[in-house]
Amino acid sequence: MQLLIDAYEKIRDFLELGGPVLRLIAVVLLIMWTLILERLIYFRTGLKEVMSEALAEWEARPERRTWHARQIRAEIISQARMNANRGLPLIRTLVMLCPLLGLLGTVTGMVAVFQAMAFSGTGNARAMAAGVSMATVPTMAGMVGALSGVFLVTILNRQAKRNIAMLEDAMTMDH
Amino acid sequence: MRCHRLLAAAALGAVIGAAPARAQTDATSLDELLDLVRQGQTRDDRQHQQRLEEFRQRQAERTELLREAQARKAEVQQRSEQLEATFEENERLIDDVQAQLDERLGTLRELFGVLQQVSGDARSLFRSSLTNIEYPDRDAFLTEFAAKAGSSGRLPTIDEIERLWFELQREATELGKIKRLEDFEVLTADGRKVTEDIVRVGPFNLVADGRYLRMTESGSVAELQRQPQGRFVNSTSDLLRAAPDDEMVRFGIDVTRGQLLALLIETPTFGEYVQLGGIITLIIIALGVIGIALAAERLITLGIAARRVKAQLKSDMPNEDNPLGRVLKVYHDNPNVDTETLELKLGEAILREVPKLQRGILFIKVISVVAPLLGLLGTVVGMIQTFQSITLFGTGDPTVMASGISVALITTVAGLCVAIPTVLLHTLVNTRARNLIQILQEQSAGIVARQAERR
Repeated sequence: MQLLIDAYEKIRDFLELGGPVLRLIAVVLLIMWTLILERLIYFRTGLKEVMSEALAEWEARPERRTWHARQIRAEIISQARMNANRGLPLIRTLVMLCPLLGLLGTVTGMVAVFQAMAFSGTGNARAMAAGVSMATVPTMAGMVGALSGVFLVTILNRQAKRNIAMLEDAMTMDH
Repeated sequence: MRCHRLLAAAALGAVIGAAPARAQTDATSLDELLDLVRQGQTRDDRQHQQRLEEFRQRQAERTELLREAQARKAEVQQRSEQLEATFEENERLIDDVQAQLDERLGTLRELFGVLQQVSGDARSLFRSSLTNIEYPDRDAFLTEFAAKAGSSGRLPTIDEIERLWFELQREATELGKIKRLEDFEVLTADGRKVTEDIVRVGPFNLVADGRYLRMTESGSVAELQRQPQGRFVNSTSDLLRAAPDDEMVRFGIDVTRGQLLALLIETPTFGEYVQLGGIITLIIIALGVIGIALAAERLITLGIAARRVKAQLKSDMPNEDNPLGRVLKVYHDNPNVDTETLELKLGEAILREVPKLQRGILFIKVISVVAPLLGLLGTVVGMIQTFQSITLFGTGDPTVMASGISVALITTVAGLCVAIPTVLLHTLVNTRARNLIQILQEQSAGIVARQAERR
């Protein structure tokens, strides 16, 4: 219990050190990682199901060579692709936002530094220190967040594409 | 003879000069004249005698006066000598007494030195102490006490020395307390005077219900212009509502005795930031508002359309209120055309729907790109201001440069603040629109095919 309280207080102090922007980055990272995990799990479970269902529907068709059949095949693949790609653009955007938010943190921190300078001159290093930590901590957090996301976004994209390609290959036209 | 006449004339002249009245009783003969002269002579002698007598008398008088003055001088001189003697004697006496005083004061003199120093230190300490609001009268006492202990003429009384001890002891005791002060006069942030209960937390903080207070230069109590974060402010209310006895309360204490809270006042608010940023910030904010409003409108419209399309997928009859329904209606209107014509007609219908779905999305994208660019523009404008002020005032005063730099940074912040949500919103809106368009383009033909097969 004490451990949890200590951890909570450390996180809270860290968040206060970084100012409001760090909190925003924390929220963005939380959403991003939730979405990434959801996709990773979905590719293992839900998508496989959707693909086998689609394949079964296609195989159950009496004929697979007319215009109608081709249109329906395109529809089935398109639906599977929509399922696979759901949420991916949002994840990509969130990854893109991380360094942008870090930059925002840098600039707000610098604003705080210069405010402190405007009020108390360059002599008061202690007044500026709060701004400096507000500038550097979110930048670091944004970078770490973006780096952690970039790899996974690439992996997710490739997995989605490969799965759909596999589905397309499996749905053969009889001709 | 001639000589004789001259004499006579002279005598005559003398007679006339001495007694001009008598001269008119003209001497008829020389004898008479002679007689007259003789008479005159005797008279003159008498007169001289008389005058001489008078002079002598006055001389005697003066001599008498001189003697008197000399006598007085001697007397006064004697008195002066006497006084001088007394003076010397007194001086000796004073020396004796002073020596006696020094001897008797001895270590006490050191004591008064210490008392003076202590009271001076205590005064400056008490002035900055929060307890000063409760006991404002001790400053005058300490000032007088320090003056007394420092002067050689007056000595502090035992009562006063004991009061100094009491004041020091009281300060030490009071600083150890968390004390509730009832009905205290507080100057609020907007300049009103209110009477309320406040709590003094040792030497560290003064709080009212939900607000931190500070002690002003004049010793009165004023509300802080800006309050710290809610977590800390809430703890002040807990403190005020706590039972007066030994209840434990979590409280945000400023151990720097108000310095941190004083720094807080110097942090500008959102409105002041916008003002600092100038016109470019306002443009960026306006763009941001437009972008977000547009995105909200798009999200709602596309959301409604997506719901209707979903309903359309489940029903067989085309409904005119959604894009997919309008596309399917083309098929329903032409049930007997060949597949190629149908494909063309469907394509045409889809082309009509796509721009409606994509309307405004590009504008959101433009805003999300332009906002950071405008921020960059603001940065450059701010830097130009900074360098202008450097040209005018040199680099000596950082506060002059700081204002330009803060303009530069604030516009950048504003640009990013607008860009970040618009990028996010653009993605959301774009995904929704793309999904709908995908349904129209890739799936409408499939849906048509299914419906045709079912028939």
